[in-house]
Amino acid sequence: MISYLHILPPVSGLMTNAICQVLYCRLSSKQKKLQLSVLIGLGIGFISVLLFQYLFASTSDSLLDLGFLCMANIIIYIGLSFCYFGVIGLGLSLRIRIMDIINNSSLHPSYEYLSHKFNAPSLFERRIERLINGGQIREVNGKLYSVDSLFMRIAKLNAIIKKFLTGKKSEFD
Amino acid sequence: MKIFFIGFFLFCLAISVHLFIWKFRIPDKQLASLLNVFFFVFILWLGLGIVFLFDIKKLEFTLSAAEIMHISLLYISLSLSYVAAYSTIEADSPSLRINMLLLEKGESGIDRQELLSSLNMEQFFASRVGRLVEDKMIKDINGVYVLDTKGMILMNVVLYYRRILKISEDLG
Repeated sequence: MISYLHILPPVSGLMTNAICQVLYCRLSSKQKKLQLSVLIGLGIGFISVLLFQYLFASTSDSLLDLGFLCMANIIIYIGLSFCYFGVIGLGLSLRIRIMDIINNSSLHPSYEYLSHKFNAPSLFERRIERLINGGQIREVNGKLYSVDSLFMRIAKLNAIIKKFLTGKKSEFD
Repeated sequence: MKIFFIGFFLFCLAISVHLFIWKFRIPDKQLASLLNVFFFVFILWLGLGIVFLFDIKKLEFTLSAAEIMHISLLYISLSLSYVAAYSTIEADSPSLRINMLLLEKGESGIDRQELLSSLNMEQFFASRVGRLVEDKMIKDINGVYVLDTKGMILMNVVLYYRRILKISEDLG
């Protein structure tokens, strides 16, 4: 019989994830602390989901039910963690950067002022550096190359889905 | 088992409605429309949930309140993940775009300056400003920009969370 207790594993997993992520990020002095904190939070949260699932295992009717319940809870946990990751990642969004410029301007900024402060070349340079440091692209003798990584596969999949859903390769087509 | 299958069925139903609408006409505000689709299916589910909970039509199949809540949580989790992922489909991500450009160049690679010039950086900026105005995050008042209430709230949440995480890196 399903009870309210069965909802606890993914919810507690998400809370554990967030607490561990925040704690690691606050206490660590490493350069890649944000990325590491996300992975650590995700891992510890996942263990917490499995532990809670194990604790409530005896209340399930059959092994098959338990298996499906476990799968559902793992999917809920991964989905909620992905959304949490999206909230953390908002700091990297171009839109937040634009809003930050407006927020920090003493006068109401014009389009030209915003564009100047936005400084697209330096921002894109930083993105390239991030990708090189993360091993997602490589630089050899001043030239940049793609790397067969998970990120590249995500980029390919994204392009395929974009083409299927919107009929465009890029939003600017 | 019911939770898993009903949760996925609802999600697939919402995706089907989304694909059906998108094949006819892509809405102007894609993310808002997508959220409406998921919300519509959720409301439909809650209505059905009441039928199954109280067995109004004397059906063989009933659900407990805990099961309805669990199914709802699975559906919400899947829906929000899809919406979050869709934001990178609706608007190009600079990192993904860089990767795709490098992929197109293949073994010949690309010079840093050449890559930067083929990224259409000004287009990225113009598109984001346009979307912020459309989404009522910022207001365009005779050529100058101010944060709208929605934008102010979001901005404060992001800044507050960055303070909690002790992140000093620049935004963007």
